[in-house]
Amino acid sequence: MKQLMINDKDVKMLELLAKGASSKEMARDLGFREGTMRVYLHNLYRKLGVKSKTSAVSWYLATAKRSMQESSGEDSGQQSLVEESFGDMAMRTSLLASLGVMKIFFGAFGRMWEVATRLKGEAIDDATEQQRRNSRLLWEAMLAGDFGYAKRLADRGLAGKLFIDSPPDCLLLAMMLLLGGYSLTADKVIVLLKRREKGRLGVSAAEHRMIRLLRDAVNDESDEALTCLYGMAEESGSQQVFRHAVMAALHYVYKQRHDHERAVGVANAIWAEAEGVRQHLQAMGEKPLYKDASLPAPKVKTGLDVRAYLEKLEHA
Amino acid sequence: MNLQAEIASHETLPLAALLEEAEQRLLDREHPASYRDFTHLLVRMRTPQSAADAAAASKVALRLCQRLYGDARSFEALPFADANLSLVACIPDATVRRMAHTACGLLLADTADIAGAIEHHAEALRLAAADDDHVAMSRVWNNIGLTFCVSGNFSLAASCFRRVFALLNSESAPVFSRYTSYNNLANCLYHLDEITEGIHFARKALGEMTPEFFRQDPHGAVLLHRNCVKLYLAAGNTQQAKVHVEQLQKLVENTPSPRGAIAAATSQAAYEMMMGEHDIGLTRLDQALVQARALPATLRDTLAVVIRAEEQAGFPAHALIRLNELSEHIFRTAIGQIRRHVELAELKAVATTELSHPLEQAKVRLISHLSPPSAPPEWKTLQRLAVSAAVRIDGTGLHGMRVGALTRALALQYGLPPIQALEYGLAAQIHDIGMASVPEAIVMQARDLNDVERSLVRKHTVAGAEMLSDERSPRILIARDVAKFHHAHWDGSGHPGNVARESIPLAARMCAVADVYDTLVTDRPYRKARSMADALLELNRVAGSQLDPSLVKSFELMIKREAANEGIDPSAEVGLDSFQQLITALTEDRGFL
Repeated sequence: MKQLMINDKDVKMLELLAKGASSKEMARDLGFREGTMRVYLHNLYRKLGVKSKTSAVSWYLATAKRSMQESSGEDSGQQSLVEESFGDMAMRTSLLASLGVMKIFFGAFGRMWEVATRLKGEAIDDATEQQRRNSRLLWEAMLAGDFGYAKRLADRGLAGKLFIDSPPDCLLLAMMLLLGGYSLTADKVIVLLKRREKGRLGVSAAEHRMIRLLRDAVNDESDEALTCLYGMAEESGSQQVFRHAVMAALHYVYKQRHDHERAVGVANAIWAEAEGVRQHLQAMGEKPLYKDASLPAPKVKTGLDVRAYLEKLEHA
Repeated sequence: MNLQAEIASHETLPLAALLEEAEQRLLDREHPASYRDFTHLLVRMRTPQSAADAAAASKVALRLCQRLYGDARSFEALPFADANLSLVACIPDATVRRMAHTACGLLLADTADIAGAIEHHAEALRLAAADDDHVAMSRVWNNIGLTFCVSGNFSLAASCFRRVFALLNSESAPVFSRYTSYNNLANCLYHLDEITEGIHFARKALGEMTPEFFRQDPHGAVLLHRNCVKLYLAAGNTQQAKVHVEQLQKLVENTPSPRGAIAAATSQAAYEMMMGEHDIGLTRLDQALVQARALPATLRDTLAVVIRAEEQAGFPAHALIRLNELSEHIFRTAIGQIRRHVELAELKAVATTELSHPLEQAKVRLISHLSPPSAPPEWKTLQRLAVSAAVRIDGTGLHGMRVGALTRALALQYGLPPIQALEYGLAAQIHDIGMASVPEAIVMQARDLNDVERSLVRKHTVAGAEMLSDERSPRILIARDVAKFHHAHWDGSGHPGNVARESIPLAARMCAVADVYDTLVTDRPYRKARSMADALLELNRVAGSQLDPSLVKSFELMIKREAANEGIDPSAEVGLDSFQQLITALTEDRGFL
């Protein structure tokens, strides 16, 4: 691709554009005829690869901000924002903020569940919908690192009810309490997590083991426990949601141990996981993030073409 | 279009009158109409009506269903029975709703959808139990028992009939449902080879019969005497058998009906065979067979009697020819039944969108081709039919579900993307749908099968593929592959025999591993179950010959990991409990797949 060659004239024009000058004013300030000014502006837009004045201005502002930061050395030692990976951004903001709408491809009751339910031919009733909403709220708090949400739920005495309604959600609650440092409350919830038995809901043996490993990894900073947790997140198999939960926990544990590199790595793996789900759904004929790719026309449509419009301007 | 105009003109007529007109046209002896001519009527039945209109219309609809049933046209009655359910949904009287469910249940059982029939009878039972109406409950239990008889599960049927007696304990006067249940239980006990008990209940039925019951159901009386003949002959009491043969003849003379005539003829022939009059017996059976061919519903039982008689008379070659006819008949009927169910499910899917205009329908079809994947409209029906076929193999009917869950887990372990694994799992649920084409007598057999029987069982893969041959959705295509090839062996020695190794579809290879494993760890009439670890050893033994070795490896990993996750020791006790726990864990909805 051709390198952008922005000359001084271009920078001047961008500065004026950013101040909100009209093309007439710009022509006057820079000493061009108005028609020439329009040609120069057109060339500038092409160079920047934008289609409108607004886009040109926002490109200019973003670049100016970046170059200012670079010159002031604010982010020295870190990658520039242009090269930022998902993991970097997750560290700067949060998993949730960096995932954005892609959050729907990670964790329980996301888009995958919706599609799978439809494929099974099952109807989603109100109770399921409610449970789904509760579960998503927990997952979003987990991804946002908002462990206080879990604490507030537990303080309101809702952990027991949560376990009866949905053992995996209660497990997630316990994980968030541990990660948030609420170890006493966490222990109270962990006691509630009964094993699944014949005809009785509960957590699986693997989930039961995991929460104990996480407790030791957080409270005692045990490296053995952490390694075992890593093993659980690594294992491929049928329980994707379980793996997602362990991956998120691993991100926070690394972060708490100030292991920046590994925390970034886990976040990147989380992105890859979400992206994998999205791609898979897309391959199956889903359009998970948008229904229609066509550009909506303005509400009031006029018959004018560009040339006619410009001529009209000239005459005015 | 004039269809719209026709609908508009119909809006003004009361629904009951329209149904009466439909009844006349459908049952016209000369030119019977098809249920397809009444799509608009079915749509109208699904739109809300006032309670009085609905009650009046429902009465006609039920009568219509009953008459079609009597004419052996249950398939045509089904759309009406189904629409009738929505029609009566708003009526407060529970009896009306119970009748609606009972009608659906009886029609579905008659068309081999056992699982669907049981669902409706269960709903009827719930309604009867809510009113604490013991007589109504006993009627429902009798119907459930009959449904199990259709599926060939006579011991389960017998316990249903015994429930009828328990419910009616306090009633001393004759009750119709008790009378029929005595009769039906006698028939079950004959099949279960408990002759003395059978005779006991047949006598009780005779004692409970009143002239009123006889008028209500003359064919029931014919069946009762036929059961008596069968039971007494089995007990070697020819004298008593003769008494009932004579009574049968009298009955048939007084109330002539084709079904009755065939029942009487076969019973009489059975008696004559027993008395050594082989020539007379066989000639009589030949005549009965001619009648039965005109009445497909009776052909199955008649052929079964003929086969026994030919064997008894020392003509095994003849018996074999008849056996072939029987299996061909069952094979064709089973395929036809399932294809018609699928057709009805689609018809319903279109009818419930309340679009009668052909163009609109075409649009809906087009959109469904373009929009994201979803379950095919006939999917629920196929699932139920597969369960109906499977209850004949194991009493729970869950073999298909278990194999589906194992196949999905194996596909995930093998590294397939989740949705594809889900599709494979769903398709594998109905792998044995073709079993409906195998005569019960063979499926239920505890001893080793002989060559002829084995070849009949093998045909279930062909039948399954034919049942699913309308390739409308990708899942049905996969299901068809699975049904056809799940007994193909890795080394080419299975059936069909013209495929081996990678030319067997992957979904079918996966299903085969899951199928073999499930069969090993559950009890079968011909052998005991093995422990989960033993079954894994057995899988490894046949890996490379019968099964795809790489899949067996993945399967073993998957089972071991899942067992560890659940805290199950695979080599510990034999039995369904821990295996069932594993399956529950695999199928639990944890918000992903």
